Amino acid sequence: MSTSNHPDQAWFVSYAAGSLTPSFNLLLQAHLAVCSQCRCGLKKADEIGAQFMFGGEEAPMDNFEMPNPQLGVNQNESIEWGKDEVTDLSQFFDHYIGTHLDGLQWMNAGKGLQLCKLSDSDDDKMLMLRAAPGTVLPKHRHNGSELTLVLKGAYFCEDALFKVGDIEDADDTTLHQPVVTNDSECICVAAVDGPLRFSGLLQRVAQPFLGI
Amino acid sequence: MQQSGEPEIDQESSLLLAIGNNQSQQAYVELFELMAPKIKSFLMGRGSSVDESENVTQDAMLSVWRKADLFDPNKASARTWVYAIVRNRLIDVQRKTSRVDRGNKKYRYQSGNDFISNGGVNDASAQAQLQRLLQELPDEQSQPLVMSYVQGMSHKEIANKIGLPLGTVKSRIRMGFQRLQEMVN
Ligand SMILES: [Zn+2]
Repeated sequence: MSTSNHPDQAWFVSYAAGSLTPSFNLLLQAHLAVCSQCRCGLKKADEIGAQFMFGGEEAPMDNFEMPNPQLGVNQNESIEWGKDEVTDLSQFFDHYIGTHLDGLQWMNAGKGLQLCKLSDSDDDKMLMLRAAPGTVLPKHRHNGSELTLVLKGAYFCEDALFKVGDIEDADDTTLHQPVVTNDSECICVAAVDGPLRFSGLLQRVAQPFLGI
Repeated sequence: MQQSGEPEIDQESSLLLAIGNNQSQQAYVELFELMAPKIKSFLMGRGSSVDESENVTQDAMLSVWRKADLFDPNKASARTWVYAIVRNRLIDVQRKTSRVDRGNKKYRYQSGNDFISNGGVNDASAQAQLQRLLQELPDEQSQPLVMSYVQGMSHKEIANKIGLPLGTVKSRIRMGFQRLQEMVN
């Protein structure tokens, strides 16, 4: 397990390769917006990606012509490592999810814990977790990858403290039990590519009902 | 501007600067001719149809035209900068296509080994150079890198394919990446 508060560089290789599902892309984008260290990691991954692309073969161009530069609309297409300033995550929802935090439909998922599913398919789930101060989350394992981005408050897991903007990178080698700090509620968004496995019997029984 | 010592790479950066500083259409034409066939080929290798590959290439080149003034040659080479634009277009297109559709794409590089062994070792091209570097890595490290960049497979797809835990796949990607990067620089 990674003890740092940044995703493994392997994530930026996959991000640069364009091989991630939407939820993972979104979480990493949000972290990149606040983390210059990871922007540097992404740039390195893009350098290698450029080696693959420009070291590759040339496709026949046939009738494929250059687009007129006057064409096309201006899209928001900035390069993550192209800017130096560090933004904050207060606009996360408006910016990345397209809705405001207050507009989410929460469901209760046990003592002090609320959940909200933002997207749900077999290999790409995104969910929000909202936990009251001091909440101890159920101990769980993963069948796949999970990235968790902190939007508000903080939590401990193992010996690491995860604060706003940090990402916890968990996979099938991780058994973890997050504990929210006492001073504030904690809101996180998580991208998951497989079902979570809770280790307590009660949670295993509840899991199908929560649909996570 | 950092000189790479490779004429083609320096030429690309000069062209991109000419677009950014002077809106030179001539430079845009030349950059398109240098880069578009490679971009299209890369996208086709990832499973996109000819039409789709051409559309994404066109969109990316239009972004290059519009954003060229943001290109900073002290930060990155032109090809790294353009690569980042292409993969952002790719991510955008994929967001609108389901994973299942993408998984069913017929044409992808058959296997990582095809990519590594395709070029002749005597060939001085950039492709041969990359392939030589990949051959320096142990297979267990080059394979997941090629699966990521060339075949566009996720960690989970790689883990399923080679039958190893996700954590192992991630650390092999990380270690292979670090070594490849050291060799490139
Ligand atoms: Zn980071």
